[in-house]
Amino acid sequence: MAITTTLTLKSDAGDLLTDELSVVTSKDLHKAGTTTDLNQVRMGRNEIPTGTSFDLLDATTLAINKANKVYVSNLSTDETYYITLVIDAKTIGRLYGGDWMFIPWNCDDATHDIEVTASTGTNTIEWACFHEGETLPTQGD
Amino acid sequence: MATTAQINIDSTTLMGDFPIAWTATGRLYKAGTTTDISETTGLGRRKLAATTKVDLITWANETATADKSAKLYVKNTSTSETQYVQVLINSVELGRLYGGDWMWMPYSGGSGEDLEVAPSTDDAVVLEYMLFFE
Repeated sequence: MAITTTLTLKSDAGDLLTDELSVVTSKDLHKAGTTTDLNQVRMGRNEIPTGTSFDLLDATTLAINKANKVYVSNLSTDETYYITLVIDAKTIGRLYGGDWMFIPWNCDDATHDIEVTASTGTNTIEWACFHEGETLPTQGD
Repeated sequence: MATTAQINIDSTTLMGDFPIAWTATGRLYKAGTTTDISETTGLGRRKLAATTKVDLITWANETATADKSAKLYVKNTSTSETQYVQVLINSVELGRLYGGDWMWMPYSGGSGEDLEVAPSTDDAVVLEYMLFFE
């Protein structure tokens, strides 16, 4: 079995719309342009203090022009807490406490790191990057 | 009850000793509150048949406020695994959606910060999308 990702968007009648909204979609994660399963992952859980922008994912060590996917979830329980996500100096958006995102990521040059900045307070996040083509760095000092 | 967005990520083979069965559910609230988001573009479909980069969401055409908690859904409905669409914000590429791929992202928006798409081929491809905003 591959890595299967499923999105369920749901709103009961009378909430967002007069009628019920339900969108469900599912996709297995494949290597770019193939039906071969993605087979590498990075993942973690971090506490992000306010005041500094951090690199969550470094673009330089992953294969470019591929079908990488990134998941980030803000575990903060305070709705006023949020993190701002940036790629190549371009703000993507804010994940408030309880929000998550799942996006494609083309780390096509060193400036395409995914950066994260916390606001209001220390935010705890969980994240994963499903990808291909990563080679571990050679041994340093 | 608010509008909810749930993701499930499952795999028993990626890491054989550590099967993945993740679930996260987010409620769509206005920024910094527990008040439900109450506006949306509705679910749209857009057919593209050229590699030309075009706006999927032109921020100035929406009544959305920037730097809030807007969320965007986009799906490439193509059944071809080789046919992809580049997704960009104001010419900065986020990544590629191959046939069947979907994405769910926060979207700060703002003047000129349009959500753009550029198909990889001239073959027709249909995108489905929906913006939730305040």
